[in-house]
Formats: sequence, structure tokens, C-alpha cells
Amino acid sequence: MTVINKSDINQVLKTVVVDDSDFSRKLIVDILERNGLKVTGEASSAKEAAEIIAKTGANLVITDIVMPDKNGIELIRQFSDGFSDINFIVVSSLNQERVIVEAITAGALDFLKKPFEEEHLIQSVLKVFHRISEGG
Amino acid sequence: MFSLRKKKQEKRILKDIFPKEINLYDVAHCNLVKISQTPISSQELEQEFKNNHSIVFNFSGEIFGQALAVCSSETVSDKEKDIFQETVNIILGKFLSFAEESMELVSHLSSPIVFRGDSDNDRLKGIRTLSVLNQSLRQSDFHQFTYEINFTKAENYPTIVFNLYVFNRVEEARK
Repeated sequence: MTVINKSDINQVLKTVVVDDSDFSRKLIVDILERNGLKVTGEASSAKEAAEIIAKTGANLVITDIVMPDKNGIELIRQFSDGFSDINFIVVSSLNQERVIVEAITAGALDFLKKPFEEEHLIQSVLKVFHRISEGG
Repeated sequence: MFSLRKKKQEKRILKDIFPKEINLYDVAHCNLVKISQTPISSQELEQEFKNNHSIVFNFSGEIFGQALAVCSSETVSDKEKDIFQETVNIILGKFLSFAEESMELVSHLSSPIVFRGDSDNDRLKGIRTLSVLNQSLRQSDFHQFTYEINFTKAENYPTIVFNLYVFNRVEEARK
């Protein structure tokens, strides 16, 4: 088993968490920080997220789908133009196949159904870390 | 025949699909404690809606309607309000996902409209929402789902009880 140094991950990942639910957003941030992973920014809407992503150069965005104004899938489309190196993980209470396919087609790397397991979120983040580290 | 099938489908959607139990990240557990179809007047609903912390979700598509969740616990902290909102979001997400996966009824969920206080903006939103709700009361089948959120001992919050009122119709064009 390969042991991954958390500081290696934190040097690579710039993570932004996007959810209009304060509870859900704080929960994701808590889980990441409890596991030694830094969070670069938080946003409660897709519009706010777009500004933070542009400002911080985030390469990992963990986003909800149903949000005011613009939804999470539209946010992914905005940044998945073929040249972007931003990786998206979608976390949503909607879990029908159509929605999952739509998110993945838009460019999401992974999809977690709410309420999700802590372990699944961490595995998903590590998947992004490996992808970036391997130059994917 | 046509309308009977539609009616049966509606009842099944509402009564059987709503989740009975949800584990909220080991912070709390939510359980369905009662389903009621006792008619409620628009005045009663308005009263409950005005006096409590409420959330409204709209869903559109092959199933369309409104879900109004009213938190009936007397004093609710900000963290409890957040958990309440997330719980309703998960319940409706599961409901619409199940309807689509098992019955091929495709619908979309709006972002929630939250009423937290007595601000002018909230009052304005409230008036608009109540007008739509009153219309729904006249036109739709109505169901009341009572849920309880119990926190784990570590969180030490009182139980939250909330009513989820659902006005729902299946789009006729579907069949």
C-alpha cells in the first residue's frame, strides 16, 4: 500500500467547495480538514465559485448541483472547455442515472450521492490528486 | 380508466416513495413518523407558514408541484436550520430520483426558497409563495409527511419536528 504524504497533496491540490447549503458545505470542509487536506475556498453559489476559481487558480472543485441562479452542471460546463485543468467532483441529493450521466458528460470526474460516506469523498479527492500528479 | 391509472400512480408516488429513514452523516437521524391526507385549509397553512421557519422547493416536469417544509420546533438554532434544510433537500432528491428510476417520470428540482425571519424581503417572498400555495391547495392532491430529526448525543440538540406538505400532480401528457 502506498502511503501518501498530506503535504504532497496540499502542494498539488487547490480545492474549492461549492454548496448553497451551509451545513453541507461546512461538512465537506470539515471532512477534508480532519483528513489533513487544505481547502482553498468556499462558495455558496456557482457565480461566487467562478470568481474564486479564477482568483485562486483552483484545480479541484467539489460542487452541489441544485443551487440558486446557475446550477453545478452549468458551472462545470463553464470551465470544461478542453483546455481547463480543473477537476470536478459532484455531490448531490439527486442521484438518477440521467443526472449522473449529464454531470460526467459535462466533465465531472466523480459523482457522490448525498448523504455520502466520508471515505468515498476522500477516495474521490485522492483520485483527482493521482490524476493531476500523473499529468492527466 | 385513464384517470384511474393516473390517480393510482399519484398515490403510489406520494405514499410509497418518500424515504422513511435517513442517516445524516452520523450527526443526526431523520425518521418519517406520520403520513396524513387530512385536508388543511389555506388559512391554517398560512398561519403555520408565517409563524415558523419554512422552506419551499418547486419541482417541474412530469411530476410537478411544490413541497413546503415547516419546522414546528419552537426555537431553532442556525445549525439546526441548516440541517433541516439539507434534510428536506435529501428527502426530495431521493423522491425525485426514485420516481425517475422506477417510474420513468422525469422532473427537476428548484433551489430552495428559505424563510428565516421577518425581513421585508422574506415577507415579499412569503406573499408570492402563499399565493401559489393557495392555488395548489385548490387544484392538487395534498399530502402531509411528518418527520423527526434526532441528533446524536455528541451534538446535544433537541429533536426537530417538521411537516413536509406536498402538492403533486403527474403530467397528463406523459401517458
